[in-house]
Amino acid sequence: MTYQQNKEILDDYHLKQHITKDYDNCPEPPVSKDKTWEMIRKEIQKDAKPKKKLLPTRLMSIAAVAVITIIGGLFLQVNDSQAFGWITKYFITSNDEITQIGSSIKEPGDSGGLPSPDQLEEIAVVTKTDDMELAHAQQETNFHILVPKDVPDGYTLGFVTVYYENDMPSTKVILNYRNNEKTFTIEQIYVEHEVASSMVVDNDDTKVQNVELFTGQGTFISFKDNTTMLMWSQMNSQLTLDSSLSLEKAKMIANSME
Amino acid sequence: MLKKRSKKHAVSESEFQLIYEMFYNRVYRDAYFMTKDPYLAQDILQDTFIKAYSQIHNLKDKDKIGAWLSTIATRTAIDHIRKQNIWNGIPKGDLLEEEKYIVKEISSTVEENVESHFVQEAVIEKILELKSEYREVILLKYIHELKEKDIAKWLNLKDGTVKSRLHRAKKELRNQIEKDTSNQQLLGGEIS
Repeated sequence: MTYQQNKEILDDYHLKQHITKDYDNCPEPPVSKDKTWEMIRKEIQKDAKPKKKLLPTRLMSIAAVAVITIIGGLFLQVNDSQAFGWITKYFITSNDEITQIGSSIKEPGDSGGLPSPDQLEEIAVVTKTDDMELAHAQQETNFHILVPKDVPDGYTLGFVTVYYENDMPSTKVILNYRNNEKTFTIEQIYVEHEVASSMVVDNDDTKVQNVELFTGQGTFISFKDNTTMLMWSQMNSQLTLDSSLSLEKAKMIANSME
Repeated sequence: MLKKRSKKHAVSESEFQLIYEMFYNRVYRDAYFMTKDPYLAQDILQDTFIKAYSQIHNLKDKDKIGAWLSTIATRTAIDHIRKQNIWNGIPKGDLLEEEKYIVKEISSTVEENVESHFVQEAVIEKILELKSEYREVILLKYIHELKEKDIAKWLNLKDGTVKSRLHRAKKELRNQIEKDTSNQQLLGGEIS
């Protein structure tokens, strides 16, 4: 090859020509466009699934959270309560190191016991979330959003986070409250048929106690970093108050939910 | 203290599907250009869109989504190539002195056409032997016509690094073509 030829081949114009021809002469992909999209869609849905991730400081103390599963093992305590026809169950099983906290909500008339694993579905495949005002959130959702009548002084509702599944509003919302310094959230998961959930906490870092609420049994968890979580069921919803509030204030909020 | 329970995305799934439809060919071709392996390109295509979905909220200039996707594709391709260790890069040597070669005039149109075909093949073959980082900048500059400063921005490189890679890529390309005796025979070239 001559110097001149070489120079011409590799000037920008010719190089672009050669590369463009090659780029355009690309074989068909081995998998169709639609099938590829399906594979991508499955992956991005996995990515979008809500991971009930607690505050970083709690990560070490919570071994596993919010898995829809059946809790086997020894129930140290089982409490049933009934509110507006819906049956809720709380159970706590503990050994030296960890405590498992389970709950279930089901329609009256169902046979006793918790649902079998085969029947269980994950709560939601969330594809997006939107923050909005309460009135708008209520319009978006197909269930009544429970709101506390009483909140500690200084706290106001900032916004409501609505979760969507495949662009349709899901059965989960979070009320976000704040004052000048702190925040707390109330997560509500509306249960259409039945649901069970469990979480595992490390006994070294957490204190778990049962509490009596107007609507029945609840579970109050105190973490080492002075944050707390109160979980309970009301009507056909599972509720979680995530805060740094004391038991008394948390109970005040829970007992005023309407 | 306030934590969202799930990652927010700047686009919905249906909006992202539109982006996929629009840029599917581009991303696959980019991946194939980088690897010349349709199966590997297929994997890179999927990975590119999955990565893009998780990062699209960080994309400030939505008009540049094509360039952004291309750079994700080329970066992903380089990762795949490294992981699979499939690439046989040719070690770079010093550039041969261009003055070593004599100039030969070719006047025949027919000969030029034939030559053009072989030259095309030779260039493509030699591009494949370039380091993947060099192919990456060649793709972004000559196919997608990105400016060097934009390539630098998207690849998070210094402007000088991009200039240097382009310069070295062309030098090495020229070097490899010159060194290949089969090309010289095909094209009737001579070495002094």
